[in-house]
Order: sequence, then C-alpha cells, then structure tokens
Amino acid sequence: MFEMLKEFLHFFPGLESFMLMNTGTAIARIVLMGTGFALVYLGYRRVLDPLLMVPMGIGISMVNAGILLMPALEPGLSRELGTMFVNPLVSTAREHIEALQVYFLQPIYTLAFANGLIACLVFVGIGAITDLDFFISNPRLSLLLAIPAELGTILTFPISVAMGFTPSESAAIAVIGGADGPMVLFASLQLARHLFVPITIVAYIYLSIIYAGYPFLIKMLIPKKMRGVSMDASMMSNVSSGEKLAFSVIMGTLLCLLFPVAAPLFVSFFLGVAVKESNLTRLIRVSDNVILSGATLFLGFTLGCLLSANVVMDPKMFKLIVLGFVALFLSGLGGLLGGVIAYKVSGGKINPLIGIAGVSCLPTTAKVAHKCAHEANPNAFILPYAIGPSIAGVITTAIITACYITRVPHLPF
Amino acid sequence: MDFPLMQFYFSIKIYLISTVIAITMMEIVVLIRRFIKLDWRRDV
Repeated sequence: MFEMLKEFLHFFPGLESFMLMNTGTAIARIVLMGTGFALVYLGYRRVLDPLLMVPMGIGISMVNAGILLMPALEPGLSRELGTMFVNPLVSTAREHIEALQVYFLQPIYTLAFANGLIACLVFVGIGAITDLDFFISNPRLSLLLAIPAELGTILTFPISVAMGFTPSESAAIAVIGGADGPMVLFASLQLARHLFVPITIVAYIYLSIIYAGYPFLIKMLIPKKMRGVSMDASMMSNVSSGEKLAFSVIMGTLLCLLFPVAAPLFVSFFLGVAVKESNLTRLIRVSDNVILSGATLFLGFTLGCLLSANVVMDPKMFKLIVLGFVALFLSGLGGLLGGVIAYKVSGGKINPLIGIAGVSCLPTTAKVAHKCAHEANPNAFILPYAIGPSIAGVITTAIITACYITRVPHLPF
Repeated sequence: MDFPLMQFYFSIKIYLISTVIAITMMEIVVLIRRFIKLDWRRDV
C-alpha cells in the first residue's frame, strides 16, 4: 500500500516533496500557503494594502506549493529540494549564469533586487506623485513633526543589539521604524545582506498592517475632540513649481554630498519630484503608471516568492517579528507625541494626528491620519496637511538610514 | 540581558546629528523660498 502511494506521488513532485522534508518544515509550508491565501483575501477586502499584499500573497502560497526535487546541475552532485522561482543564495559568476537559465524570477532578482534598483524605481514613482505644497509652505512644522516620529528607528537599534543581533543587523532592523519600505530594502542590502529577505518581508507585512493597526493606537491615545480638529486653510500657501523644482535640485544635491552611500535613493526620489514639477507630462505618466506600478507588482511578488518555509524556520525570524512591531509602535507613539505637542503649542489649531503622518509610510500614514480625523469630525479634511510631515519623514528616515549605513560598519563595538 | 549602553549612546548621537541636518534642510527650504520670491526686475 505504502509502495503504491509512493509510486502515485512520483507523478506529483510537489506532493512528493512533503515526504522528503522534515515535519516542521512541511508544517511551515502548509501554514505559509494558508498565510498567502489570507494576505490575498485581506488585500482584496482592503483591510491590508492591496497593491502589495495581493502579489505577495500569491507569491507566498505558490512558491511554497511548487517545491520539487531539482535536477542536479552537475553529474555527481546530489539533488536537493528547491523551486523554479528564484534562488537568492547564488554568489559566484558561474552560479549566476546557471541560475538565470533555471529560475524564472532570477533576472528580476539579480538585476533589480540584489542591487536595490527596485527600491530606487519605487522612489522615482513616489517622487512623481508627491505633492510638496504643505511641506514647502511649512517646512519647520513638517520637519519638527517628523523628528519625534523616528523614535522607533533610534531606540530599536540598542534593543536589537540587546536581543543578540550584530550592530549592522540591528541598524538594518531599526530602519523598519522609519516605515519606508524601499529604505528598509536598501539598508538591509547594504548592512545585512544575509538577512535582507526576512527583514524586508517583516517590514512590508507590518507596513501593510499599519493601515489597520495605527487607527487603534490613535483612538487609544488621542481623545475624540482633539482628533476632530479642522486645520486652518491659511497654513497652505501657494507654492510655485519653480520653488519645488529648486528645492528638489538643491536638497537632492546636498543630501548626495553628505551621504554618497545613499545617493541612489536620494537621486531617485528627487528625480521623480523634478519630473513632476517640470510638468513633463509624458515622463510623469511613465513614472507613475509604468515604473511605480511595475516596480510595486514585482516587489510584492518577488518578496512573496522569497518567503519559503526555510526562511520562516530561521530562529531569527521570531525576534525580527517582535522587533518590527516594537520599531513601528515606538515610531507611531513618537509621532503622536509630536502631534500633541504641536497641538498644545499652537493653541489647538493643529490636528495632533498629522504627527503620526511623520512616520513616513508615504502616503499610507497620511491617509490613516485623515481617515481617523474624518471619522471624529466629518468636516475635518487634513490629508493635504498630513502629507507635509510624511514627506519630511521620508527625508529624516533617509538621513538616519544614511548615518547608519555610513557609520555602523566602522563602529569599534 | 544587559542593555547595550554604548549602542544606545550611538543611536542618540545619530538622532541628534540627523536632527541638526534636518533643521539645516528646513532653513534651506525657507531660504530657497525667499530667494525665489525676490523680484529681480526691481533693480533694473
């Protein structure tokens, strides 16, 4: 009977592979397939961010289903379990050439993921759709709200070291607190390449959960009266496209001068902004509809395909899940604290919720702030005001990330 | 589990440096606005 079952399973290598792995990994595989379905469903119902969660969920379920005994690449080598999707562990030039011929996602991974290009492409698109009006009208307020919202990026670093990670790994994990997906991807590639898959997966899943989680934090800490404050329209002055273009060129050049190691990210973001403010309509359409949409699709899908059972079984994964939560919780807390201080100092003219938009998950946190304010007071329309701290948050996160990338590898401890 | 004091001081230092850079940036934004708003034709 058992022999018959084995013979039957030979026809279906995906099912057969369950018999060839240990029980823990087999269970993790089934759980991950279920997780993939759940992410697609939650994205479809708009509980989580659908743009990332639908492709990521598809990737997670299908990569864990499609495991098979791979043919040996050279005679004499043993056959190992793997997939036809992607192999992130290749290192030599020869392995790269062979991988490009076997795994269908390998070209995207090798040419766009392993060097951080995909993060830069996302930044070009974000730059091209970002409205800088409130930020340039109120640069002081925007940046002063963004600075407390970096609490998680700062405090997670020592907490992570205390939990047993090296300083480089800890800095890469701490960047999750900045809530900026492409920045996390870039930092983990620069500082902890071996952990970049789990760190980025944890970051993106949490960034999507922000959409559902931060409203609870807001409602728990900020009274309804403060949440419903309408903001004064006079805070939004007219900003010409010339001012915005000058800002993008000068700021971009200055940041590249200070932190050359993070220059690819800076140049991508400010290139997008410059394209928008120069009113180059064809390039704006390409940056938004093609570059941003295409990069987001492959970002979510490739990350999902990288989340195999082996990654989840890594003992560091549980610690990463805890630290990701701590980082985003502290940043949200810091952002709200900054918002409340701004509310008090302005004599109640500033809605404290725009503080949480300083957690730079552009534009998700700004949307969350607006949604909560609108629920408390249907006349409160704070989205354009919340975008300012959100952009400032991107800039402060970029500065802190660049400081980490530049300094941490040379630390004496 | 000992709290890593050196790393804590380092992260606070990074925070302060980033704050100084961010404040410099916002002052630059203010200057850019003032500079662009100057009416250069007035002097002609």
